[in-house]
Order: sequence, then structure tokens, then C-alpha cells
Amino acid sequence: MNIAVIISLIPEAEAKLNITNDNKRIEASNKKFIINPLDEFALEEAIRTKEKFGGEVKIIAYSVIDDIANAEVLLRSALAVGADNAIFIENTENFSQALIAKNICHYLSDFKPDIIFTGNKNIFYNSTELPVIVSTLFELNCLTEVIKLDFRQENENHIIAICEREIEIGKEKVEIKLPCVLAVNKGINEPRYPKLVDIMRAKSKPFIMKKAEIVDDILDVEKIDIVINNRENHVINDTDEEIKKLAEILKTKL
Amino acid sequence: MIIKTDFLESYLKDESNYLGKANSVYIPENEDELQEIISHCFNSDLHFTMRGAGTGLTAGSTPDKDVLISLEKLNKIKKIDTENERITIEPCVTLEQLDTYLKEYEYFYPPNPTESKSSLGGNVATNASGSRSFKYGPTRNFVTKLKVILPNGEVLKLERGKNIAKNGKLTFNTENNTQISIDVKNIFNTNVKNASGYYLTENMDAIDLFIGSEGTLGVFSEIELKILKRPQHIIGLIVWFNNFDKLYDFFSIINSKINKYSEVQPRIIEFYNTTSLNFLRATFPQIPETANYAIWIEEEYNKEDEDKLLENYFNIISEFSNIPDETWTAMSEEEHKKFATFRHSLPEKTTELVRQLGHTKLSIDVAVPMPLLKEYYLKVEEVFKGLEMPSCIYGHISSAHLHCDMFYSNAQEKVLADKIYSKVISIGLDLGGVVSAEHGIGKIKRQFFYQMYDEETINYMKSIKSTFDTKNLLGNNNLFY
Repeated sequence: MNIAVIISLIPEAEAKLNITNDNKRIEASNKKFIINPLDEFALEEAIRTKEKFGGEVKIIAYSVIDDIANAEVLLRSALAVGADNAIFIENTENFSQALIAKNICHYLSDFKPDIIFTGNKNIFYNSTELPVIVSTLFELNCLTEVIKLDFRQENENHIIAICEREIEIGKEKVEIKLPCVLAVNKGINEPRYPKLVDIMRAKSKPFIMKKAEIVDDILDVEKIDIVINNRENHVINDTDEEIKKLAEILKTKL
Repeated sequence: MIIKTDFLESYLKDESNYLGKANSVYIPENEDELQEIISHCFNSDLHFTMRGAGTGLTAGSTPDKDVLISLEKLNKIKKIDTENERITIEPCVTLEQLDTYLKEYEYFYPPNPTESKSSLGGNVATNASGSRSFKYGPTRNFVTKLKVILPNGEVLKLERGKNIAKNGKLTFNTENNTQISIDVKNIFNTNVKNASGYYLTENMDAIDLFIGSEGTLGVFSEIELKILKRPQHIIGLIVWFNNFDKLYDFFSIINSKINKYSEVQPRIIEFYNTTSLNFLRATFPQIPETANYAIWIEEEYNKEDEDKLLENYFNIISEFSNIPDETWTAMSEEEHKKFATFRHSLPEKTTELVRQLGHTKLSIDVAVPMPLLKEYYLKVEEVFKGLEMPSCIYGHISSAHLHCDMFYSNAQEKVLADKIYSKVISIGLDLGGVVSAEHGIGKIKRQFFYQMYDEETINYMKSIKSTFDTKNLLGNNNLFY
């Protein structure tokens, strides 16, 4: 089975972010990135699927900001948990999700994936549209919010994915025919830890950097604002006077 | 200065749950106020106990009468000197605060006591150690200067290497030029990881007497620590075993500095027994089913040595573990964070038992001479076997120091736990071990402290205390009855 996983690399939570003078680009000061946490569940699900059916797991990755220092380290660790090869698409900063989807499809078209896994959301951009656009470009079925996955094999060429989805009132069970795109959510699995032997093997697995081929975007970033936290902090000491002051603040400001 | 005389409850307990007593709590805002309140206590004959972050496990910072002085406001980092690799801090700076600060400079403070919210003053007072002690040693190895306010308010400045005992005498002067002289007898066991009583050895450095003195000789108002460049690359491994003998053989090899895998030089080696892993399984279902024991290793390395290092570890793990392919590995910062979650889960799980289910924790902190570690472990495992209350054995195997914790929930279990506690301590002492390797004696381990030393030695330590604390006011009931 040909299994693809879309992974986005995003700045770590503690990273200090700045906006360039033209207000159009984000800069991450320490350049340390992580794998978008929901994409880790997608990777684990891809490996479990390979363990069930055999085949190949291909990672296709991009970063939300270009000045990333550790893309290879992160993707090597993704290879170490069981993926077979990885492509990293460079220079996708400020790309719309649609343009990222086009580039992903460009590099995946020869692979002919039976399933494409990805996280339900890119938490850095708070965006969920990527899996839907990818499925549209590939003319595949797509399910989002998948929290449980099983398979039923009708025959060699006919596999059904049995998915549980989170919906407003509870859970929904849906069957979807492969090939398809599945966007998974937290809770679908517990990602495994990289194993020593697999880290050693991962060193020789193919890892390719590719330039973004399609660059004409339908969207243009006009301006990025970082929200400034206007919260006021008061330190109240444990004295009668200060406590009276606190009571006053609570009375007047709340 | 803040003075509190009511609602003192939060100041009358540490993590041991021993409930203390005090009439007032003083919270000085700076060094001058600290000195002022200490002099006031001395002149008014008030007993006073010092408290940092209150994370201790032996009630050392819990007062038994009169006054508690909380150092919580003395929490500033004063100066960093990267050229000489030193940092000067006030006593209530926490490990977490220090690490965040040093990260900016690409430095780190090597001792790594598990409680990141503990204060450095408390760390120095108990000579705290942690997982990285195998490579770097305990807090003592990183204290270069101490400013100590003695119980009578006089100030003593100590610098490592400046006051060394000669011919059985240790002599030094306070800032007021009062000369202090003590007779030094060799009583402190330095062959075993040890936090049981005063560090008194031949050729000792005066600064070492105060490190680990558990708030009984003087009050640290300023501390200078040695810091090191943060290592660029660290590998973490969790290796699984189904059999203790195999684990021990594996440990013995990586623990010795010279071996056929001499390229393997870990900075951390920690142990988890079966019941510890069972605690962890609830949160980490990925733990291999056949694993009964685990060893967690960390090593610093250079990028160019990475391939060789991985190969060395793989070879040695394959020789001893029955499931070498399951070895968990952390190399990126994210993976190390996940490992940190794993390590912190055990104390979190056991704290849940204490906080939410009302169990009481009894924690054994014995260390033994390294050659007798296996004998000690097997005897302790035998004592713990079939125990119906929750328990776990884990910790610093590379210092021959394992924590053995029990969690009792009723009077009947308490009797049993107390019995086991005494039994295990006796096993440790019979093998030449110490009552406390890390947590100190405080108030709750005095009984065993008196079992470890004979009367003459206890009296000798008491005489050292009265040299500095003539009225016996500081840290009342810590160490001694």
C-alpha cells in the first residue's frame, strides 16, 4: 500500500516570534521547530497501516517559516519511527494552504497514494483546509476529525476504511473507500517512541529537499499582526494595606 | 519585612507532611533585613528555623517553635560571570528559575535534583543530588563561595580552597575578625553517596561543613555556583529488561569508566523496578509488555561521534537486553521533553496517591557501597515482595542509591510500612550504607541517624553545632534530639 503523510514543521511553543519591518513575514528567533503535534498522530497511524498491509510510508513535509535550522533532524526522527522516505519542500513561507497543497500534489502524483494521512489542523496557522484541498486536487474522498481507524478488506483492490469521527453531539462512524485522505485528531493513537535500532536505520533512508515548484499564489499576505498581551499584572503583598487595595481593585475592575 | 502571626499553616509543613509549630513568620525582603531578624532572634533567645521553597522531604524547614524565617523574597540572580563560569544568586532562586536564566547564555547548572521548584539555598543546605550526579557529583561540587550569617548575626565569607583543615584543626575568621576554630575528626563516610550529618573529614574545606548542614549552623545569604557550557548534543535511552541479573550486568559495564565499550560514558543512569513500571503503564501503554525493569541513560556527545555512539550502545544493549529493538531513544529536544514527561510521571503518579487518595508516603533514601549494591537490592526486593500496599523501587543506581517508597492508607498498613522501613535501613547500615543519601535527616529521620552513629559521634557533631550556634537556637530539632 502506498501511504503518504503530510507533516508541517512549526516553531516550538516557547519560540519568540517577530514580524519583519514590512509586516509580511514572521521570524522565529531561535529557529527551533517541532513537528505539528497533530501530524505526529497522522505519522503513527500511517506506520500502523503499513504494519497491517505492508507497503511504503512517504513523508511529505513543509515548514511554515523558512528560517528553519533543524528540518532534517526532525524528519530523520520521523523516519526513525517507521516512515521509509521523506521529501521536504523548501521555501513555502507565506504560501496559502492551497498553494502548499498544489506543491504536495506535484511531488506525490507519481507515488499514487492509497491513503494520505495528515493532522486535522495546523496549530500554527489555526487552519484545517489543507487535507480537503489535497483531496480535491487528487479527486479523492476525504474525512476530517478522525479519532479511530480500522479497515475492512473486501478484496485485494478494494479496501474500506472504517472511521470514527468527532461530531458536535458525539461520535459518528463512517466508511470510506480507499484511496482517500484522512485528517486525524488527538486520541486516535499514542505515538511510539523512536527506537535505537530504527534511528540507526533511519540514517540511510532517503531524505530529499525540493524547491517549491508552483509559486503563483491566489492569496497574498497583506499584513501580519502579533497580538500584544495587554494584561495588567499587580503584585499584592501580604499586608493589611495591600489587601485593602486588592479588595478595591476587585470591587472596581470586575 | 513582612511579619505574619496568623494563617501560618502553609509555612508549617514541607512535602513530608510533618506538621510544625511557630508563633510568627518573618519574610525579609533583602540581606540586611535577614541579618536584622537573625540578630533579633539571637538577642531575644528565640528559636528560629529557615525555610526556602518548602519542598524538602524530612521537615528540615518546618519549625518546631517560636520563629520561622522564610527566604522566599531573596530570590534574585545577582551576577553571571561567563568567563570564569560562575553565577552569584540569593538563596531562594529555584532550580527552574536558574535553568531558564542560564539557557539564554547557553550555560547550565549540572546537579539536577528532581524537584525543579526547590531553592538553591535548600539544595546547598542538604547537599542535594540528582540524576546527573553520576557524572557531575552532588551540589557540593558546584558551590564555590558562600556568604553565611551565623546565628549570632555575624557574617562569614567562605571560598572554596581558602580554609583547609590542617593537623586536625580548622580555623577561620568572621567578617568582624572573630576567630572560629574546630577540631576535625574523620567521621563522614565519603565512599558512599551521603547526606547524613556534618561533612567532617581530614583535610576538609570549611565550606563543606556548611554544605549539607541542614540549616543548623548558619544561614546562606549569598551563594556562588560553578556553571558549565550547555552540551550541544545529548542522547537519551530507555532500555528494557525482563530479568534483574541481566540488567545488573549491563549496568555494571556502563557504570565502569573503563570497559570494552569505553566510548560509552553516560552522565545519567537511573533504575526502575517492576512496580515502578506498573505505575507508569497507565500513562505509557507503549512500555513493552515483557519489560520488568528499565534503565534510563543520558550521554553528552559531539555530532561527529554520533554514529559510533549509537552503534556502541546498540551492541551492548543487544548483548544484555532480551528486547534490544524496543529501546526508546531521544535525540531531539522534543524527544527529550517526552522523556522528561516519562521520568516525572512516577513522582506525579505517587503524589496523586498521596494528594487524592489520602495515602501517606514513606520514602527510604539509603545508599550503600557500590560493590554491595546488588546484594542490597535483592534483599530489599525480598522484603517488598508480596507487599499489598502500593510501592516502588527506583532511582540513582549509578550512586548505589535507590529510593524505596511505600504508600500506606490505614493504621494497619502504617505498622507494616514502619516495620519494613526499619528493616530496610538496618539492611543498608549492615552493608556499610548511610541512612540518607540525598534527602537529609531533618526531623523525621533522627531515630535512624542515631542508629547510624554512636553516642560519641553524635555528641561530637553537637559540639560542632554549639561552636557556631552557642545558644542552640537555629534549626531546632533538625538532626539532633
